[in-house]
Amino acid sequence: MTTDMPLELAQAPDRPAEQFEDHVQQRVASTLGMWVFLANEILFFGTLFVGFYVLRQFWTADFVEGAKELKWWIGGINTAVLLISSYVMAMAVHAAHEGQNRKIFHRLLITAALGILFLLFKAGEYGIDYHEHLIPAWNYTRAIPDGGTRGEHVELFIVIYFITTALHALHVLIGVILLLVLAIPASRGRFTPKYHNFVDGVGLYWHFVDLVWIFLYPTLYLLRHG
Amino acid sequence: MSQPLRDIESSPSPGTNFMVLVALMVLLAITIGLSFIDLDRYLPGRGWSTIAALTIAAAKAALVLAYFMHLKYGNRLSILFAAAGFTWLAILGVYLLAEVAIG
Repeated sequence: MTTDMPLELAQAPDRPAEQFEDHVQQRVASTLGMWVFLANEILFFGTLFVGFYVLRQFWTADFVEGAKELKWWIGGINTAVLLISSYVMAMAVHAAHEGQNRKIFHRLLITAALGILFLLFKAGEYGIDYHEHLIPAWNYTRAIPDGGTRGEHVELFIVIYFITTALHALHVLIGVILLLVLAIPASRGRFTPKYHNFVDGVGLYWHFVDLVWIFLYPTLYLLRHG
Repeated sequence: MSQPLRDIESSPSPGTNFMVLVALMVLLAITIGLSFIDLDRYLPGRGWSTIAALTIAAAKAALVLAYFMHLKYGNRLSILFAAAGFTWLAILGVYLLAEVAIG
């Protein structure tokens, strides 16, 4: 049973890893390592946001038109789904601090299910975008199916929309996989009040994915005025 | 082991977590509602709808960072590293947008 997963996931050691004085020091190191990674991620997504607002400064009217093309209500539902998933994840971390493995297990699965729901809504939205001829380099047309013509730089907005939402969806997908992998040791009762760094780390990652969407949603969907 | 690192053991209570979720949902409803109104019609200058949307997003982000991500409860080193990420982003954004705005 212990051979089918990494040693550190397979058992909850009584002692910290040998390079650490105690469990607290190990957890501080683990949390800090996660924050170093997240600081990188802030800049990774941050450059896309800054690029968006610089371009929006040049072609505000076209970007407003682009925002109106998107379905604010699908984005809104997805925002609510991710916010709730973040809450459930926070409760999973809370259960981890108390070593309640059954609760950790259930909450990880609920969080993963909400992540999958988010991806399904996103896929449905991409489907609508396809039917409205909004996918650049595939079927984008300046002529709107219902009549009228799209502004010259609406396509630029749509390109950024697809790059940012697809990169975000990829992060959600990775998060769902991490949550499901983490549910295995939880189902086997591996986490203890002293030993739950993996839950904390994945929790931080999941909240970060939520954080990116908190800015993506208004940036792409809601800026419908100059 | 220095003392300040000890407080990483604490975390928000279930009740606090739920109140944060309620606050996030209320802010989401407000930002959606505001997106239907052109604030520039009621205020001097321009860009108020964008400022309002981003301010609300920043408030939501602050709640997630402070409570769900435990920065309010964690050790100061985590706060420093989180702040480093946002500070570099701010340098990039402020200088670049200043250049664009001034021309």
